[in-house]
Amino acid sequence: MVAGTGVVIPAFHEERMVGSVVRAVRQLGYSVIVVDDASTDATAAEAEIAGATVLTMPMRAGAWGAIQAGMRHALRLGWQRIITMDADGQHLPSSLTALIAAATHADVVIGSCPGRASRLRLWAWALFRALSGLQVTDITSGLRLYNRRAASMALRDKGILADYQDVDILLLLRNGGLHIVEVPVLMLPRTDGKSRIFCTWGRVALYMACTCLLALAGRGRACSPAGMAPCAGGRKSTRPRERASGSAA
Amino acid sequence: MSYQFTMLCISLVCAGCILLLLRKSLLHPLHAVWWLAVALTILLAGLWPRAFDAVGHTLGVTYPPTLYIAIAVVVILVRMLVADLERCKMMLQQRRMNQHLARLGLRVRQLEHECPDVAAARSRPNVEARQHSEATARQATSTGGGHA
Repeated sequence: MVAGTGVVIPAFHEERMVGSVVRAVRQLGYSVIVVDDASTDATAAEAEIAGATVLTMPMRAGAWGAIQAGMRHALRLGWQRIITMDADGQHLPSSLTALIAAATHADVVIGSCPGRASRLRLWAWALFRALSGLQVTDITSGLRLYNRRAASMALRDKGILADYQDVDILLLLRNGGLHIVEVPVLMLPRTDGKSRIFCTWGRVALYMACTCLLALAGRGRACSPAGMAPCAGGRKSTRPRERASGSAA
Repeated sequence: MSYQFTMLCISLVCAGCILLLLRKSLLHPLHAVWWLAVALTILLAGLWPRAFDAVGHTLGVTYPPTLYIAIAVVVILVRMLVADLERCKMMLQQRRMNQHLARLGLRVRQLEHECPDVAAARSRPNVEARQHSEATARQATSTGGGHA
């Protein structure tokens, strides 16, 4: 356990899994905030029994909205690093160590597992990368670590208006001059089999249109951060200054 | 019935509806000003159609009545864009409030946990709580009655 680091878990109708996820994370010595996204089942009760601090959203806010509520509380509690992970058991608590190790020289660390994605999703990610200029392999990963600076930036108005913590948020952080790195992690397949966000092709089409638009709108607005530590070799960096200097070399 | 009279009726009905909505507090004064301006424009266009024809010819519109339609479409689109901007602002405020409410809810639960009396008072039905407070007040009055 690293002092000042805790885990925020957004949960919607996860009464089956949330308790075991919270227990597994707490066994590693981390504080856990579960944000119950207005579930009508026993998600909040299960999380509380497992030892988490539970925030209950008065109305549905989506995973990113719930994470933001958790981040606000974590910042108020004085956490230095906030890790976000899913409540459905896809993310392994053993991955947290790798994220924390990489956080010594980055503002945001993404637990990356492109192997879990379908061919169609990989194609979508490639499109988003091409449109936005982001150099992140796993754009939609919910396993992330934010330091205080990154969390505060994600809670700005632009971050609040975002519906998902993918391209929009990554662009906000990159354009704010933050240093983003990815570390490879193992993820398990979903236990319930399918995504709740992309349950119909209509929603997929709408998501693609919105995200492509956001990627284009946010492209090329990167600004150089002042006084940031250089990125360690071997990891992908989206830090604007490094990419600029790398291409010039 | 003349064309001018029809336009006058339309604009008066528009203005009347807007004033009624404003009176019932269903429309914000800022929005009411906009819609009254629209009603006034309809009235002016109806009373002096030649003026719009002249403007149309000046702008190179061959058939001036199409100018009405073009202006109306542009105005409606601008209005829709403004409505979306306002909706976005409200969405931002609602999301921010939702997040703050979640945090406040937790704080209330924590305080209830720390002060069991508060939790007990909260769980009591309102009537019972009122009776309890009234009884406490009566007791306080009778205790303090010695002053008389």
